[in-house]
Amino acid sequence: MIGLLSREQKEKYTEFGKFVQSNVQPFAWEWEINECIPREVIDKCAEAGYMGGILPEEFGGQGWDHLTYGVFTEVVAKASTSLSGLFNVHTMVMKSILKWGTEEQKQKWLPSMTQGKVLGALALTEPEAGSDIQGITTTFTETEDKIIINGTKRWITFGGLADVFIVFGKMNGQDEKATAVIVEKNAPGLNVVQIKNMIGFKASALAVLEFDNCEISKENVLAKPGFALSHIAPYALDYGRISVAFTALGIMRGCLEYCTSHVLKRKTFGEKLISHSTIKEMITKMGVDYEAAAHLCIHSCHDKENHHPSSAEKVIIAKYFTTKAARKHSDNAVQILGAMGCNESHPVARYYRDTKTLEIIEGSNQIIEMILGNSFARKYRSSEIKAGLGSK
Amino acid sequence: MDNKEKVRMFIEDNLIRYDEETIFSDEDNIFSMGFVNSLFAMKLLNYIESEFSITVDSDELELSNFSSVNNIISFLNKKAGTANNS
Repeated sequence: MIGLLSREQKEKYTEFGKFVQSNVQPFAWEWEINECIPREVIDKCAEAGYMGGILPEEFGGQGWDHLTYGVFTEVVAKASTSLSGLFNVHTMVMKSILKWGTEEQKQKWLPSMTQGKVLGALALTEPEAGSDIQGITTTFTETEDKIIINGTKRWITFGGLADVFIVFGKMNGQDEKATAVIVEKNAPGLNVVQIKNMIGFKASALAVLEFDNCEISKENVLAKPGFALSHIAPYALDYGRISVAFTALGIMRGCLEYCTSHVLKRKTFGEKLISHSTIKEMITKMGVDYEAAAHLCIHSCHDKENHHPSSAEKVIIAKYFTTKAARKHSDNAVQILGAMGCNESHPVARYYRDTKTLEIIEGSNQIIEMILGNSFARKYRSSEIKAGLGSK
Repeated sequence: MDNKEKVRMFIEDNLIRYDEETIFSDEDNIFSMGFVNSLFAMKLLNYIESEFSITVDSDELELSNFSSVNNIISFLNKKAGTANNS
């Protein structure tokens, strides 16, 4: 991975590593137990300029390219997937406002978000609508100067900590008027209930958002009604998938580091574990998949940087491959570390739990198979016919 | 290749139908015909912005701008300020 980065990106990689070693790694287990990331950690991230890393400097960001954001996510996720989840949802909200917001909305929200004073979360999922986002039933009703929100959002990552949400619903209940609005946590009629006991991302402050005649200003509508599910949500989720792919990459990196240290020290039957062919095979597959996943992740970031039309598909491919590989190798990491890996306090135990979540969030891998299966079948068949190599 | 051919080829390459004989006219609404998947709208937006070096602003988000080959071309012409010359 590191060898594929530019000099500037390598320097950032080193910088991120030092920050994480001091401020994240020693405390990540405690956060998992408490199911909460303390505010002072977020303040430290903000002081370092990390809350708005990928945002332009004019809004207080660092102007990172997509790959630097990805590298940052990898380094953070190796120590705390929950903290990488915070950057994920916060970035999705900031990038959505940057892309689709009015000048007033950008000026109102982005500077305080890049400074970490305001945290964002994306409220899309509902009790009866997850990957099938068209099925959402939250309604927005227009009055003269207000929007009245009714409905429930569930499994909202960092919903319990966020100050502002992008909420998706349907204007006046019309399917063709899917709309996104910006809602502050203290809006009248909004009740936030934290969810506990998740299998993974335990410190991610998941929440239920209950909207009961919740009132917001009409000025909080993000872009035009009708485009929330075709443009705003996919645009946000594109960033979410970059984050998830690099989170899985960070987990694989962690698996490699913990496992290789162990197999080079631990002996069985008078020989180091690495001497056994079954262990060699597991380490080989782990290393090869890490390298392959890194290439996919980097390639998707380059395409995203260049606004390539296929970038969204490349990001999905990276998310799919990397999360599946991380799932498999976190399982092997626990196997290699034995009882040590089965103890909740060891990072590979956390990796084992978190990778299950990674296969589900930002579009489950089954939904991705529906998309990519169709796309590949069409694309490669089409190429064959265009090249005159196949028959109809 | 003119802009219309470029746009048409992009859409054809991104249909989710397996049938090679799938036919749509330059006037057909490709969204309502069910020929595209959930990624298509964003892919089309990325394509238009990168291929024709323009930025689609939030207030230009109108289904009528992107629903057919002819509508996309009209939108591009408007953006280029050449609508009257096309």
